[in-house]
Amino acid sequence: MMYTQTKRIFYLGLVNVIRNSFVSFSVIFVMTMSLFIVGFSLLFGQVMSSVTDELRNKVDVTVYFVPETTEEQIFKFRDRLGELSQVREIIYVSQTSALEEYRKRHENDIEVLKGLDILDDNPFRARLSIRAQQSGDFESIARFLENEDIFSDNPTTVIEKIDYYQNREIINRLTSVIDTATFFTRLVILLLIFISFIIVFNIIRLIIYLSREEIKVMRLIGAEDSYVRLPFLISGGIYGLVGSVVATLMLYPVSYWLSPAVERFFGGEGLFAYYVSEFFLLIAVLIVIGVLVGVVSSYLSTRRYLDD
Amino acid sequence: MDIISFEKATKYYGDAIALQDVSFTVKDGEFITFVGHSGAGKSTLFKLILGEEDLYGGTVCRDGVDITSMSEAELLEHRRKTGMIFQNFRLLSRKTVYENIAFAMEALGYDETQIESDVPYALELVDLRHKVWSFPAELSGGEQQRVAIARAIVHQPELLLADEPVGNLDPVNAHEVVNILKQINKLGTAVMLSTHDRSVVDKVKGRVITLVNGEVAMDDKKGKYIL
Repeated sequence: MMYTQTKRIFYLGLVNVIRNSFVSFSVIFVMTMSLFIVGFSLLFGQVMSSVTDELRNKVDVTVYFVPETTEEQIFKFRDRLGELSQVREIIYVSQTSALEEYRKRHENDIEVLKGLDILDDNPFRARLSIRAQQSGDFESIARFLENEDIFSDNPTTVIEKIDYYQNREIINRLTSVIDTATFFTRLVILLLIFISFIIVFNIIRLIIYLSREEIKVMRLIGAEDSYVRLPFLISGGIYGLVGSVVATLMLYPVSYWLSPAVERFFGGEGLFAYYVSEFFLLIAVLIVIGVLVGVVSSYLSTRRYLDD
Repeated sequence: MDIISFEKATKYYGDAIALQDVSFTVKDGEFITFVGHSGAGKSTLFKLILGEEDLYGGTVCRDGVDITSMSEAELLEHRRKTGMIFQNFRLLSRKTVYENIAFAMEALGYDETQIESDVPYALELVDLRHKVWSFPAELSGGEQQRVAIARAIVHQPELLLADEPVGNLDPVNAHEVVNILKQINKLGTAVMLSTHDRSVVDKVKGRVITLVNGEVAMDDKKGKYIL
């Protein structure tokens, strides 16, 4: 009995979509457009997110140690720093590595390499590059570095320089730009999802308004509310499913076409690379949004004619 | 046994009186015709029976149970035991003739085997077997009304309400519909028919209740009426 009724409900939902072909086409078209915008925003948001992540990764606080500091002291210092919840990553570069890095970077610049050879000592300092969990954590990390007293014999002499204070203004400005960009990207995505929902909701409401007589007759025949409502929810789900699949497929050529321009402008990986690598996640997200919007819109629209 | 009973039923739409102290009973298997001009209260009477409208005063009972105090489940059960035919047919436009009729049974949870045997029988009764896969828009008014009748009787209801079923039909089709209703009544279903068409009342013969301005002006078993 339950199986038969479920089968009938699915059949009725499908038949509604097929027999109402023009209206179904209109809803699926609007749904596709809306989900396309949402999908594009998600991809673009991913590009923005990777760009901001990249920028964020470039921001760090570097502590330079005086040449007399032993590695043991530096490691002790690093371990102590690592215990801070604000610290995401610490990279240690020894004096020798710093020199090698520099040489490698300027391997084609003979003048620079000659200049280095003239010097008796290694001019580079051992350093710790510290990356924070959040952009706002740098201030507290810098304060910690200032007050750190693990070198009880003479705490101030081992740290030669902390570059946070030299770069503070740039770091703060960059942090602010990153945070604002992230906030606005998310806001725009949410806004687009909301607008899409409103458009689709109103179209589905219109369709169900056109079916109000049918709903009334079904009720007078003695059909249960769920039997009247569920086929409409199934139809709404089908609109969402088809719309999301078509929207995802439409994103293929569009992301491919726009990818070089986005790459040139923002750097990092292009739209198309994200489309390919996140295809299954993207289609899953769009299906969930599409089906949910279709089903919820249908539920809210039928409620008006059933729950009285 | 009274299948339907009205006891001083009163209904207002705003300040306008739709029904005033209406009392009558309908017995199992009875055929009653309600006559009256437009606005006399015939449709309101049927809406009250179906539980579509609330009463202002009095009671309307089905098998002794007050319809206005029925739970949602009881109301559904009551509707399932009642067939309804409307003046404007009210067929489901996106369903075929077969589906329109089968839908009533599907909604009530009948299994496929039962549906497959009962729908053709109902279509046979209204002489529409040849139009089984047509859509309502492809049928004439008379044919649409016959589909509506088939839909209303396919689950063999105890009571059939026919609200102006011939109002939109030509005389030939109207008389055909009346014949079908009489035939259904002979099979044991109580029929309540409303009309303002004298020829229909004269053809039915039997108990007639005349409504004037929402009140029962005459209730005559021999078929007398005021119109």
